Amino acid sequence: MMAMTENPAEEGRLGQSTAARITLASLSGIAAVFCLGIVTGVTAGFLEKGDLSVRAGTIGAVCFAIGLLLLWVAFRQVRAIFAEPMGKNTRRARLMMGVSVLVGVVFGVLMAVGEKGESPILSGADLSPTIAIILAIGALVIVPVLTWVWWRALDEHEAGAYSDGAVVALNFNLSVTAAWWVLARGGLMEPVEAMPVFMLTIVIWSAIWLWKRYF
Amino acid sequence: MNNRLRVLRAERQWSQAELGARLDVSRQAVNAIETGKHDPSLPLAFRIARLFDMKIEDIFDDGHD
Repeated sequence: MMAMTENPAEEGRLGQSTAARITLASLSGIAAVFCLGIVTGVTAGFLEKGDLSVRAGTIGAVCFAIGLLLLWVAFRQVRAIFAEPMGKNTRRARLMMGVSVLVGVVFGVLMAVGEKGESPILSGADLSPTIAIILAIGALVIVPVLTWVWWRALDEHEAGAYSDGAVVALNFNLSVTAAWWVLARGGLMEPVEAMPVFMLTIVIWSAIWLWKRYF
Repeated sequence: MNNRLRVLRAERQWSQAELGARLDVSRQAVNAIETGKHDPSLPLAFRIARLFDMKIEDIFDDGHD
C-alpha cells in the first residue's frame, strides 16, 4: 500500500526535492571525506611521532565527530530517495546509479594507490602497470555493462535528458578538439591534451543531463 | 502539449511518486509531463490512458480541434 500525500494537488515541483537530496548527500559525503582525511592525517602524525598535542587531538576528535555526522546526513538523504514509491525499473535505475558511484570511488582509490609521484587523477603522472590494466578493463568492460543495464531501466524522460546532454557534449568535444588541433598545427598552442577536453565534456554532459532531469 | 494529468492525479489523491510507481516512471518524469516540459511517448501515453480508463485525447490536448 503506497502512502498518500496530504494534498497531492499542491505537490508542486517535487522533482527538485530529489535534486536537493542528491546535492545535500553529495556535499555531505565530500565534506565527510575531507573531515575524515584530517583525522587520518592526525592519526598518521601520532603514529609517526608517538606524541599528540592537545590541539591536534581536539581537532582530530572534532573532525571525526563532524565526519560521522556528515556521513549520517548523507545516508539519511540516500535512504529518503529510495523510500518514496517507485516502480521496478525506476528502483533498478537508481540502484545502478548508486553502484556506478561506488565503482567510481573504487576507481579513484585504485588510482590514488597506484600513483607514482604526484596525484595522477588529473595530472597524467605515471601509474603502476597493474593498476593501469585493472582500470582499463574496468573502463572497457564494467562501465559499459553498468551503463547498459542502467540505460535499459531508465524512463523516457531521463533517457531524453541524458541524450540531450550527450549531443551537446559531443558537439563541444568535436569543436574544441578540432580547433585546438589546428591551432596546435599552426604553432599557436601545445598539442591537444585529451584529459582536459574529456573532463570538460563530462562536466557539460552531466550539467545538461541533471538540469533537464531535475529543473 | 496541455494535459489533465495533475487534475486526474489529484482526484485520486495520488502523489507524483505514486503515479510514477503505477506507470513505472520516475517522479521527475511525472512532474515533467504535468508541467508540459516533456511530452510522453505514444506507449507511455497509452499506459496513462489505461491507468485512468480514459482516451488519450481526453487527457492530452495538442491545441488543435
